[in-house]
This record gives sequence, C-alpha cells and structure tokens, in this order.
Amino acid sequence: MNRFVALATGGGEAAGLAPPTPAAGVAVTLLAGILVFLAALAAALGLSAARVAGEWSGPEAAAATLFVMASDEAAVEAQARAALDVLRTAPGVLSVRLIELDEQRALLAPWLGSEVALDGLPLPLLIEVEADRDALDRTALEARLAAGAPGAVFDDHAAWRAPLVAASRRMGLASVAILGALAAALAAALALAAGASVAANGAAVATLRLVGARDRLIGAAFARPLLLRAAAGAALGGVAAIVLLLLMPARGAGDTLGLGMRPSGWEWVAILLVPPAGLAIAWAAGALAVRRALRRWS
Amino acid sequence: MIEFEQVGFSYGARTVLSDVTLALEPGSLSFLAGRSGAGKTTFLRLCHLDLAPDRGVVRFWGRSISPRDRDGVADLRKAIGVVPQDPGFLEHLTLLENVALPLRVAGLGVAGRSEDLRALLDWVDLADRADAFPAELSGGERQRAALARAVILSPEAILADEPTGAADRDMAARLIGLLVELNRMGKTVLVATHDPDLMRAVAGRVEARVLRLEGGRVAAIEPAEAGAA
Repeated sequence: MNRFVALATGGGEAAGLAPPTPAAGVAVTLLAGILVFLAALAAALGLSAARVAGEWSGPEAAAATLFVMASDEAAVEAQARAALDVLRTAPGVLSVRLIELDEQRALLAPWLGSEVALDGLPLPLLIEVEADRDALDRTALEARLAAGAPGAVFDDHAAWRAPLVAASRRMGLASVAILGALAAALAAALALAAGASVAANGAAVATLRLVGARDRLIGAAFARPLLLRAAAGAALGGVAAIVLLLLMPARGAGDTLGLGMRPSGWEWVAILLVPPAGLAIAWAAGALAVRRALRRWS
Repeated sequence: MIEFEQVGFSYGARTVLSDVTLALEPGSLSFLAGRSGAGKTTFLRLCHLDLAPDRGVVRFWGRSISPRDRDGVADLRKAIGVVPQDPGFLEHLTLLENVALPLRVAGLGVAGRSEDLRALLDWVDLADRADAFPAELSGGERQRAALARAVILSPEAILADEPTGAADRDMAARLIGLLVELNRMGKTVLVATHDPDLMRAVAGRVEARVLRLEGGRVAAIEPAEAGAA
C-alpha cells in the first residue's frame, strides 16, 4: 500500500516539499469522506434496484395464476377440470399445481391479519402455472380457456410487475446519475484545492524550480498531501457506508418484494471498489489541476 | 560553457538587453557590473533560463534549450548553481533541509550524507544553525545558506546576484572568499554586483574580469583590477 501511495504521489522525494495547508487538508478529508459515503450508498441503491428489476423481469416472472370463479362448488370443480385440461395441453405451459384452500388462507393471513375470519371468505380456486414465456401463446390460451372454462381468468402478473420493474430500472439509472454527480463534485473539489495550493505558494514553486525540480515532482509535492487527506476521508466514508449497509435489512425469505438493500456476494466487492475509485478520481483531478497551475506559472 | 549570441530582452516596451554576444569560459570568474537597472539580474536570469531571450540564442555547453522544454530547463538548473539576490527558501523546512533540497530534487536522497551536509554548512559557517528555520536567519546567513545550496550538487557554474547586498563588511569578505575558493576548484563563477570593493577584494587573488553593462549592451570587458578602479 505504501509503495502504491509512493508511486501514485510521486515517491518519497515529493513528501514534505509543499508548504503545509492544514485548513484545506481538513476540508478535503471531510469532503472526500462525505462524497465517498454518499457514493457507496448510491452504488448499493443502484445494485439493489438492478437486482429487484432482474428478479421481477427474470425467470420468476414466468409464474402465472389461474383464478376459477363460479356460482357453486360443482361448477367450480367442473371449470377447474376443464381449465387443467386446457393448461396441460397448452404449448409453453411447463407445470400446473392446484393451490389448496388452506394454502390460500395461509398466504392471505399476513395481509389480512388474525382478526378476519378467513374460513368465511369466498375464495376462488387457484391454479399455479409455470410457463415458458417465449413459447406461451397467451391469446390462444385465453381463447381456449374462454371456450372450456368461462369462469377462469389467466393472470401472468404483468400488470403489477411492469411498473415495478420500470420503477426499479429508473432508480438504477438515478443512482448511476448520482454516482456521476458525486464523482464530478469530488474531482472539482480536489482540482480547486490543488490549484489554490499552487497559486498560494508561488514562492515555494519558484524555489523548487530554482534548484532544478521538474514539474512532475513539484506537481506531486502539491498533490500528495491532498491525496493522502482524500484517502483518509475516502476510507472513513467507505467504512461508515459499509456499517450503515450492514444495518440494512438483508434479502431473505421474508422479503417477498426483493427490497432488502444490504448487498450480498459480489455486490460487496462493487461497494468496496467505491473508495479506491473515488481516490483515483481525486488523484487524477488533483494532478491535472496542479499541472495546469504550474503551466500558468511558467 | 554559457554563450550569448545577439541576445536581446525587453520588459514590455522597455528594452533591457540588446544584441549581447559573449561567452563565459569554463573555470572563469567574472563580475557583471553596471548601474542599478542596467540589466545585471536579467542577464543572470537568462543564464539559467529563468527568463527566455526575446531575440538571439543562449547556448549551454554548446546547445540551446527551449524554455518550453520544462524538463530540459530543470536539468540545466541542476548543472548551474544560483544564489539569487533574494534567496528563496521553503519556509517550513530547516536550514539543513533547505540546503539539501537539490539532492532530494535530483533524486539522490539525503540518507547517509549527514556528515557531508554538516561539512558543507561548516564551510559557510552555518553548522550551528542547521536546525534553524529560514525566518530565523539574518540576511548574511541566508546568502551563505543559498551559496551552500547552490554548490551542493557540485555544479559546473555558479551564478550569484548581489551576494553581499545583505551582508556586513566581514561577511561580504567571507562570501567573496568562498566564491574565489569555488573558482579555484575549477568552477565557473559569475557575480553580478555594483560594489567595486568586491572586485577589489578579488583582484590579485585569482584571474577575474569585469563585464560592464551599459545601455543594454556589454560596453566593456576588463580585468578586475581595472574594473575596481
């Protein structure tokens, strides 16, 4: 790590050559910390949104439900049999499963609460359908169901999935835009601090040039302390973001909508890359600003 | 080693040097004399490309260096030690660290050189001030520190701009003695001064010449004995 910092900041020769600027250093640490903290959270939000959009539009979206409603129990049974015959012979339907009333009541219980008498509710007969979306001809299936089981309604969940997928994708795009804005803010802050540091220390620049310092060394001398301050800020911001994300709900069995924001697996790697990425942006912006400032001094 | 060929320089509309042609020979000691505003400092700044000539060419060891070649200019300054009229120091570093600055800049490092550095400070009578900061030094001490810094890389040429301007008589004698010592070691020395006492102090000790600047030109080149008269 020390070796990397030495390489990135111009080596040990540059250390301590620039006059210290404690006030600017504290501001850079604070700013880098806040921006990296926000960037890590934006990245986590973006990853979470992408995961949700993927889950709601992926293979699980192939699940559908068939509702059978009729005036009496015998009619329901007759229509259910007819519907099952249609489904079992329909191209693209992979499997069908009758959902028992007890299972339906168990699914409803968390939503309706324990005070509602579920036994008295008129529940439709439900058939869970797993389908291959590409092979399934929904129009043909609905036509056959209308002929054989007029009380059956085929629902592939598209009506409620589509807006949720769209919203998740928009949230993902928004987090990318936020990341870009934060990166630009960090670059601008470092460029400003580095340029101001050179401008405020013209005498030191002149002295370094007098003794034969190359612009690369002078640039490193002025960018190095700011980069080290930014690194400290980025580390603090990164740690704070990780702690906060660990406190977020994880994606689990009870998370039916996939809203658990805590990253998992490779997502942690992506989050951990945010501080070094911020540092790379800070280094590039600082070095560029110093080089520009030195050219103005030539 | 440093050659001026028809060199001219102006600050805006005010021409300071025009059509200057001369050469500083290796191992020579020269005084650059002239009234205040005659262009002595400008001449010295052209000698280490702190300024670029408006007209003509300045050659260093036979080659000209473009001012846009920043690395080339930086490397040239490692071969030419400069004692400016107002010696700039890094105020947050100690005297020892300032004197060692060219070593760090040249990538040579200072580790294992503390004895050499102490000896150099001893040579300019500043050994007991090694840990002082520039703001704590007197004018004469700053000039001697600048001289130590100028010679630490053993450059082939040393340029000094009014080196005794801030020094009393004894200190001025000590400083000029150091410059003569350097010249005896084979270094090329160019001293800008308007002080005839300085030339007088050198006359007879080493072979020296006076380059007299007038009207933006080198009006006369004469031995130090004559120049001091």
